[in-house]
Amino acid sequence: MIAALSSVQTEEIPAPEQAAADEATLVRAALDANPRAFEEIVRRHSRRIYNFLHQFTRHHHDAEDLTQQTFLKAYQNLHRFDCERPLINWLFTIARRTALNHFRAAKKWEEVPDDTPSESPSPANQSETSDAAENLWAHARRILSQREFEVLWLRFAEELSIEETARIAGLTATHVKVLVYRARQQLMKGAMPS
Amino acid sequence: MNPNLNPNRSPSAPVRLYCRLVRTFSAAGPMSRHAETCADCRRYFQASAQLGAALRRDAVRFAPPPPAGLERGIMQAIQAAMPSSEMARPRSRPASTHAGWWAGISVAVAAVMALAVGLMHPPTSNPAQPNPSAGISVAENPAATTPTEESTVERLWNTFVPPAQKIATAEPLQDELDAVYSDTRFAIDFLALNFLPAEALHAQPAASGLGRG
Repeated sequence: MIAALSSVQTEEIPAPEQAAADEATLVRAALDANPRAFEEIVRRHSRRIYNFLHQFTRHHHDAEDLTQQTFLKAYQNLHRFDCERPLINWLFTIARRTALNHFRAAKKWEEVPDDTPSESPSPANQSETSDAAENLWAHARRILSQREFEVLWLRFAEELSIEETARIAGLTATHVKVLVYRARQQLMKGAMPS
Repeated sequence: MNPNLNPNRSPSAPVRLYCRLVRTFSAAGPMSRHAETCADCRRYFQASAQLGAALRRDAVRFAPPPPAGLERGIMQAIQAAMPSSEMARPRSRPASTHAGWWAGISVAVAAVMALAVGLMHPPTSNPAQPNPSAGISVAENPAATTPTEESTVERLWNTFVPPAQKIATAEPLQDELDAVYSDTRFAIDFLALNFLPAEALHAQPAASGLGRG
């Protein structure tokens, strides 16, 4: 089926360079029943959305399911997308809400287990553990609240502006600044991994 | 190597912003000049910048590899959730709300104009037409005995809701015949006025009619 979709209307797909320059064109093409246009949107953004959701869930399967739900919601509501704004920000907003609903239905943020249980530490696990010890984000997840972590991720990992972060997180810009400041202070307090 | 300059390693000692001057005001403008000379501020901003760089670096370095077939799974999930007809075309952009507003405004304007025309030209009884209420008794037609001026509200009401008496006494066939007769007479008069010589027009003034009225 996917192959069939891929073979349809190939000539109407804009070139990747051109599409990169104008993402709104891609969205309009998807709205005009061009199946490959939405595939291109998925190809461009699925990895970032998956990564973002993996930071929330710490579980590959959950992150994958939530990524699918995010893009499904995006497909169903594509007509509501404001082409004046970056598509990835809209997808982050949907992904965040989907993840929050997931946590509301399943587990709390603090109770989410890590994806890699290590009862008998193998060399690979030991290496992974040492990586995690050096990983600032793993440390941040331990000491920050969910909201602080989420805002910090959007600001530094996704490199979004204060305003964009505020819009995605549903907060004011001032609130985002305060959360980022607090999160940075906590990370700089000396509890950081040496 | 100075640990403060190593982006891979965070400062071992806790770093705090001790300087109240910079904590109180923004770090822009004169404050940035102050930070150039204040060791505490320099240390704080340096550590803050290092933390930001380390966060960006670790986000890329420790990003989990996406599962194989993630994109295919997403497209399959969309196909499974949407009927094939909707899969071909996502929900289209709804009609602009402005169109609805314009339609509503147009209807309102048309209604107001119709109302105004109705009030300016109230329906008058045609003297040529027989009075349909002539055969109704006084008891049935009290308005006939007390011919008073209709108020605006009554006229408006009667325009949209004809009274039961009118409905009961209406003769649609007769009305239609009268209308046809009137139109025919008007057409013959028009033709006679434009195409007959003036002498003939004055000689046979009655020829323009149909022998009625």
